[in-house]
Amino acid sequence: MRHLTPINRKAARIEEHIDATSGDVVALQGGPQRPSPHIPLGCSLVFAPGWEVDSAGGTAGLCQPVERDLYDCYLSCFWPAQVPDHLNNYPDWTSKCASATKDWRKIDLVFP
Amino acid sequence: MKRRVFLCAAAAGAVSRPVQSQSRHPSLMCAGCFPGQVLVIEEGSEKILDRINISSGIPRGLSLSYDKKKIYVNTTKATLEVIDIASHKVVNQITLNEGNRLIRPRGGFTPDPQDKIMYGIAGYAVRQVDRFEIEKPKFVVLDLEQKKITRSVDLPKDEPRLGLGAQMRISPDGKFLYLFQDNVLIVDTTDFKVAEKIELGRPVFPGMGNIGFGLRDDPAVDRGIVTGLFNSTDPIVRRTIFGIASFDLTQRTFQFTPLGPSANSGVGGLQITPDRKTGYTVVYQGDHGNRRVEFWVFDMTSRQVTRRVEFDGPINFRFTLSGDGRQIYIYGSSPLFEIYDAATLRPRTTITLDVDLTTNLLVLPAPA
Repeated sequence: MRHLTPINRKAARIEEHIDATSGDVVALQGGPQRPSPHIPLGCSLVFAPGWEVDSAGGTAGLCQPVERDLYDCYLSCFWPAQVPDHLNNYPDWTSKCASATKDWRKIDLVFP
Repeated sequence: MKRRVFLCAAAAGAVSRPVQSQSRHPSLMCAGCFPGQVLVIEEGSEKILDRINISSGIPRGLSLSYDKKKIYVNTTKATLEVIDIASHKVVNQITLNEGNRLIRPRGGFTPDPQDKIMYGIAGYAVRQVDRFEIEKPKFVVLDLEQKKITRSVDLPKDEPRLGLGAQMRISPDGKFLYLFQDNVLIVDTTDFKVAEKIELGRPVFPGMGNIGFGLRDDPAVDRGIVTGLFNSTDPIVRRTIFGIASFDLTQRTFQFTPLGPSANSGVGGLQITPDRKTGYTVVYQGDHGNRRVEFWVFDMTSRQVTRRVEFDGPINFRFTLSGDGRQIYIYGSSPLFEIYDAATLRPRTTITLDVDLTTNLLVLPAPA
């Protein structure tokens, strides 16, 4: 961002806000700043099997057992890049499977 | 309502009024599951007594009707199904999508005291040949007899996030809609203007945990009272305090009892035993690998924390207190739930189902 220069007051305030987030003076209501890895929101945003990590950069926060990931991505977390989406295109993807950990082979195949 | 009122914790008359039940029948509870069913489970034996088929998709949320005789089930296909608790039958089905206008509700709907209409906040995604056009969310009124949305009103301009993660309650006279979100908003149901704003927020949850805490559909308390855990920010030094608040939805008063500073941790919803003497919640601190999860027990008479016990909390989970207040259910989207003894806070048993759960456990009122 250093190659950009604010030319109005609003832009200057945005720059001040960004600078403040990396400073060591913390407002009382802000709470302590905790160092954290740069991981995009929770599970991986890229479709690369084997790369999936949780928001802390580890694997402890992922769905367990791993078959549960299918339904949690489908319904609870809604990751329509990794699994079919129930909202618009594949509402019946799981209609033949009641438990992903037991019957995951019954889940429909989809060909986008 | 002035902040001073809650600081002295003496707003008039917000007390819990338990509904007495003399029934000796075991309580029942319901839960939605894949691929499209609602299970009816008997407490105590934890046996599945019935499976109610939902024809319009996967259940995503269960809530009690205002008269506590029906269950509202919202599904993944934007449909509301109504189940009669006595007969275990689906008695009404309402599709909320209108052709290519696909509804996108922000949170659930809440019924009016006559169970004839439901209030909610929703936007629409209009499906075109090559794109979706997104409409701004509005207050919507769903008529359960006409089976369609009969009214929509713009949200207040200064509340664009209204409804996201919010929970709603209606006052017993039907005149005011309470929205519990970052603040508590009281909305007049005639014109949907904000009548009052109370600066009490729900406790925050760190990370991306899919934890369904919140205000519970409590079968043991009347509809005019809401009791829960809230955050309040001091107006001088802006320090956040968390405590127990009770709202009297009829009188529009509330009583807030501060418990302590709000730590950088997750605090669950408050669940109270039928005798209204003991409350339970779940608190967790730290991130996934180092997370510490605890039961907290409250004496609701003195409004103090009396016990804190660590337990092995799963990654994503919900918790529900049983109808008799003697057991705590820990469950998630997996096909099992753990049962803890509420007195000792120790695990009692684990129940394995043959289905994955998709909703909260809804404890039903004991039969008369």
